[in-house]
Amino acid sequence: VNSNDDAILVRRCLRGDDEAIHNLVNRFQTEIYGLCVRLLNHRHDAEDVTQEVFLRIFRSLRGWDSRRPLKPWIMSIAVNRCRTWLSQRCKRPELVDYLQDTLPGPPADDSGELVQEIEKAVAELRLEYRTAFVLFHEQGQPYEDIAQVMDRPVGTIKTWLHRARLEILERLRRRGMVSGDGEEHPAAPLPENEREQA
Amino acid sequence: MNCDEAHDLLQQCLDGSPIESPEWLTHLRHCADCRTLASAGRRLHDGLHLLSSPLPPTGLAERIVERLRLDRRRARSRARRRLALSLALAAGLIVALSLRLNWQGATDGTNTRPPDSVVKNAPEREGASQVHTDQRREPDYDRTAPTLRQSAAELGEVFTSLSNQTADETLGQTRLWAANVPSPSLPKLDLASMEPPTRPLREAGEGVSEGLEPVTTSARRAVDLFLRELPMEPSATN
Repeated sequence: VNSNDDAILVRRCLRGDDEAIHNLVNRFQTEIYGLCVRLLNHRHDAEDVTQEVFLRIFRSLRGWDSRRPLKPWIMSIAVNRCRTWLSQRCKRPELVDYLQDTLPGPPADDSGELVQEIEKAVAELRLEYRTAFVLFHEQGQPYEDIAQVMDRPVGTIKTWLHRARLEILERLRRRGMVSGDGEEHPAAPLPENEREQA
Repeated sequence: MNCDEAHDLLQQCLDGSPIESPEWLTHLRHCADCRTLASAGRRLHDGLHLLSSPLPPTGLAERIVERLRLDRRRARSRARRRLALSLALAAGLIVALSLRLNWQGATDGTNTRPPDSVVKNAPEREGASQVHTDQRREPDYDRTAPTLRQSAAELGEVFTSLSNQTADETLGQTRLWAANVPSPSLPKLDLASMEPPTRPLREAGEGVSEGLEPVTTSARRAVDLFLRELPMEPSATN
């Protein structure tokens, strides 16, 4: 989808075209909801915030600059809304175990345990690190788009992402997912093409 | 290769860039910390492939669209209420100003506005001058002036017509009365040289309308700002 298609879609939405509104919602709901789940660690909250994000998107759709890509603009609204929600949630008196709500049951094998450890590690990251990590590794957005979403320079995003990875790696090491001297997994991570060949 | 360079290469690898560096592998063989970190990096790399993005619950899109529709309906309703309120305020302002003008006219001794039939027929009655009729048909106020100013000028015209009528009736009665007086010593009135009694009233009406001009300008600006704040219909812009 190029920027011209985005502009056409937005114009149709502004005209009140129901089909265009459905298209826009269907196109972005998975990414917005996934981001909200990762940032909020709570599925019900994520659903509420996803709805609010779309409300805000449509209310401010006229303010979108059609010369810029649509997706980073939309994701920035989602990130800002999650940030606001988290700050409001901190003020609530009740204590809720959000991780229990989000994470699945106990894993059956090592890979499930690995995934669970990674999810817990991601959930414990600082919000900025977590946002950069999820946008990069889970949603596959490039550094430049993440910089637009988070309104920070690319260098800052790289720094945050590198620190996020180091914290996760440290947690994996502490939780015994890696042997002490790395002898069980001596090889470096393989690039994608080499992994597929293997 | 030192440890910092090895860490940078690990980050590049996690970024998705392929690494072909014999120096790095050599460093890993000799540095236990970097070897552990690289091993953890590989586990992370594997785990990220297993990590599935949370899927939205069933029907979320429909709920979102329904909420958007509800929000649009509410926005339209709010816009209509604001428009009705602003129109009511503007109408109330105009009525209040008109009443104020009428009240001022009554306190000045010109009484209230006469009925339309009186105003309409006043210049056609006996002795009405053609000059006054022409002035009524072509008022000399600025036609591009605001509506409220025009209204004030029209009020002045109404007062003018009323005073015309009164003056004409008075003159007619005076003539009748003077004809019945036996003494011929009364001086003959030079009606042509008399100043029309309506000019001061006309000027007063114009003065009032000019005095109200800042008020009308402010009110019009406020209404314009208010209307500008109203959300526009999507179809209106396209």
